Amino acid sequence: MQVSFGERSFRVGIFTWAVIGVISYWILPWFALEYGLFDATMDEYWDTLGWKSHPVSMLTPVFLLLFIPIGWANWSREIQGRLLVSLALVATLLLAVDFIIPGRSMGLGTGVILIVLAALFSYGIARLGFLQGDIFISGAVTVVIFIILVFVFYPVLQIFYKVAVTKEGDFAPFQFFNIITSFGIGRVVLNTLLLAISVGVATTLLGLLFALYSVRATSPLRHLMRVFYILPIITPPFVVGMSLILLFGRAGILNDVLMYFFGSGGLFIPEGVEGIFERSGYIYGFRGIFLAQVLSLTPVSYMVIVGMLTAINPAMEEASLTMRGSRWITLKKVTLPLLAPGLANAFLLGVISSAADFGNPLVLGGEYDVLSTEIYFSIAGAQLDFAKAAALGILLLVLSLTIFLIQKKYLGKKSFVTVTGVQTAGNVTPLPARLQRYLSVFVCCWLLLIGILYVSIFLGGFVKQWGADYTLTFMHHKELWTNGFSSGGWPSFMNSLIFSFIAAPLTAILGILIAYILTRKRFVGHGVIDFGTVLIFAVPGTVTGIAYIMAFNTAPIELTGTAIILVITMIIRAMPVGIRGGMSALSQISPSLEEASLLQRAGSFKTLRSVLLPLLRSTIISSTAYSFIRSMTTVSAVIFLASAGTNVATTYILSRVESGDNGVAVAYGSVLILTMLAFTLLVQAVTGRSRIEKQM
Amino acid sequence: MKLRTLLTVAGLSIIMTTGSAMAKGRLVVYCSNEPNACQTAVDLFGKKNDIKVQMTRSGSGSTYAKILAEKDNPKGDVWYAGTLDPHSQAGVNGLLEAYESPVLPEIGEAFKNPATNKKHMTTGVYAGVLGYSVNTKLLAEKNLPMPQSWADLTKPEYKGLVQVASPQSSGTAYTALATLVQIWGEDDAFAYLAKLHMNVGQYTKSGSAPGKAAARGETLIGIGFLHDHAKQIKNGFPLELVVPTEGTGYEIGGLSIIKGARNLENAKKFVDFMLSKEGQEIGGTIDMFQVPTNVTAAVPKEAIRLEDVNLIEYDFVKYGTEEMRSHLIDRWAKEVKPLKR
Repeated sequence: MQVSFGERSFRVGIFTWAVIGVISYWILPWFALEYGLFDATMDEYWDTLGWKSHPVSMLTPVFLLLFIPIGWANWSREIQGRLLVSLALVATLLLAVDFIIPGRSMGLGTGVILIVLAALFSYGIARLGFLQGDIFISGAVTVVIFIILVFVFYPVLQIFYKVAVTKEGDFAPFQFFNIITSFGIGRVVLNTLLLAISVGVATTLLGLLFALYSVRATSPLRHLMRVFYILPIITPPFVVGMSLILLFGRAGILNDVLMYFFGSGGLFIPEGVEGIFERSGYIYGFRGIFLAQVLSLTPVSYMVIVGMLTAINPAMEEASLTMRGSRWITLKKVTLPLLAPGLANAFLLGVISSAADFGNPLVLGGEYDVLSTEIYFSIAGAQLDFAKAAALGILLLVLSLTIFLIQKKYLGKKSFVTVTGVQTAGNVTPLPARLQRYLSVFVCCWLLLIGILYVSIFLGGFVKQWGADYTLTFMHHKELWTNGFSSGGWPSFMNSLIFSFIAAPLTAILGILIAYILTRKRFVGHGVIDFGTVLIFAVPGTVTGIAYIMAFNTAPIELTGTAIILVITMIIRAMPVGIRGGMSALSQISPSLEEASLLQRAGSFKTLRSVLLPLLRSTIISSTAYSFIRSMTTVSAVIFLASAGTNVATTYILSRVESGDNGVAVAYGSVLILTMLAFTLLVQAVTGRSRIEKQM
Repeated sequence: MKLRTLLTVAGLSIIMTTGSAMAKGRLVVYCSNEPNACQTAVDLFGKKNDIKVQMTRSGSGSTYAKILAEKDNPKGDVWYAGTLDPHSQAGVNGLLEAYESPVLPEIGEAFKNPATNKKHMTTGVYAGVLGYSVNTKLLAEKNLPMPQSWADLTKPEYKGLVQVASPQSSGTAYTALATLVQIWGEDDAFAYLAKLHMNVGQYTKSGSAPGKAAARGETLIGIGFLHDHAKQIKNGFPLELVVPTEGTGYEIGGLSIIKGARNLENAKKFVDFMLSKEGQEIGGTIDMFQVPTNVTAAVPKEAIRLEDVNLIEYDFVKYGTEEMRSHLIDRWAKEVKPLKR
């Protein structure tokens, strides 16, 4: 009997997947290798093979081979689909039970078999008519849901589980309340909120001023605002904090200057009179964190507001001016009200980012404890209290999720969409002259401060001991880069590069897939992906960090200490970038193009490849590039997960800061910033327009 | 595409079947010392015995948690360094294997069997004296007298000039807290801490930070383990080490074999090596100035000898328990930390 082309590819597909599964069962480890894949000896490798050491696992190839006759039989689609789906589900369930009951960890081969089962499952649901029987999209949906379940929901659930059991493993339903009402926690929460709200207000105000200046001012200075786009992208968050210490710390250069003039025995102080200036640690604590966060987060709110400002139709303001409203009145009564949603958005973003920030409070915190550092020290310090870390994690998660949902509900879908307002042609109303003059001065000061900060970072790597001995030296850079590739800064630098290099394209592809599924397809399980995306956006890095430690430290999925977990973390942490990029690009492509392709009976895969991919190419490149940069500079989640062999650049720098080697730390930091800068400029040169800047 | 997947799988399997290195045996070390010290010790041991050693470094608290989490299926074989308390706790909770090394006769009496349950599960591998160091340059600049005792630190002239870690995050600071409690009794110690609080410029997170801050001149006085501070002097900073006249406590670095170690014989070899004269002299070669516990090992000239200073009878059993620990830390967090300065 003749079989159609579609039917044949269906059969071949099932056959191929089943065979891949069987082969990987025979040659790849069933159990996790105790000493890692690449360090294993032949004997150890041999022992982890399922058919060798775990006879029950022989059921696996039997199950896998069963798929082939089902796929090839001439049964009705419905029977075939049901059989495939139930067989895949039963097999997955048995597999999970086989690992969870004895508490052993899955090996690479088992991972491959799970992917095979997911693929076969997708064939089954496609047969049942799911998503118009499209195998590619069914597969993509299965994989995305699988990833969200395992790497988003499961870890978050683990936090809730850890808070409900004691150290000994007994059930303790009220532990959460005991912890959050215990002494000192209230202050930490208040500290976090106070800081977050002040930072939110300050960044919104500053962002507004800078946005007005850059869009509406006539001064040539506004072109300099471009650095606002690039610097925060390429700078690891805590580096700003480090540079503040160099400037304002007890041994900071500004204090030296003040001491020189106003300290005891200083230039302006008469002999024998007490100086009016005394070195002190005023930068540690609220002031320092506030300043560092304002410096590093203002660009974000600036971009949100600029997007809003350029989207305002100039006709409104022109109308006000024609009716003899002054520029001031127009600004106050027309422009600002129109900007209100943008301002609210910027404020909420500032609050979330401040509460989630981990690097600056760690570097500058002093005695000002906030939730993110408190979580870290609950399990990294002497206390070692997982329940407390989990409880604090839940508080931070709830805070961030609430704000995110408010944002999503009241401010429309803006939070998903990039701030690429289309520049409307028309007569833009200039700023009132006096305001512009004041702003010019202010912008100059601000840029000067940022300039000094960055100069101090670069110089800091070249002086012997900042604050004590300003002799120029290469010793920090020598220590980092000239002791061979297996010590100093190289291992962590290479790890960062390699992990980010693997993570970035996966982030971009997965991001576009999720965006495509969310915007273009309707199906059962849509809600799972939607909620998963919300969590991906809203879970702060610190919470991801503890959640992963709790979820992936033991069987069945044991990943801590491996490179895989870091790559996965980087993918999940940079995913918002990928999804946002995909969403904004897809929203500019009319669905009719795909419909045309689908009508011609091209499958989703073909449509994606031949119609959408060419249109999305520049988005994929910029998403990849930006994910790469994010992964290189991320710190909050990876600091929990990096271990001796998988240290990355940021965690290495932070460990040097913690042990007081500031020279080495800033030397490394400056190299990292320069690398990122070179990379950004390179990508911009390749993609033409400054697309990366727009993805923030 | 599928062909490529197949090829990848095949390629991977070939790499793995040919690329595996062979060595006489294996050892997995959990190390809670400074990274450099861990690496040097492990490299030396591995090379000497032709053993493939895998080392994971993290603080003693996290390592204890790791061992506890892996109780049913231990991954590590031996746990090297880190303060004694978590080692003690692990011993009490049955996570460690008893082992009396043949090198034991060479080990000082106090370090042979220091852990709480007295079952030879942990041996002391180094000791470090608690104290504080003073930046002499800053001292001269401010024209202040050299402090000599714990009590001196509460004098008003040192206001804002003392740094110490917070016991909530640092084991070093907990040792200091427990030491003061053992010198004066609990209530008097807390009265002292409240006075000291007025002079503390900043509580740091990490126990080694105050010494470094003193070295850089960020603070005048840094409280901590003096072997950390000795390293700063070697690096050329103007520090003077002070062992307070009232007497002071010390830490013991633990060395334990993990129960159910899969490479038990090699773990024993590692313990023997680290306790031997050779193993104990590694520290001096890489600027780690803790005091060796092996009496035959040479003490680095920068290190402070235990017999030269007035040490208290630090009760590792009593102050190593979890209850005492959380009681003292909680009391500090409630009574001292919130005080207004």
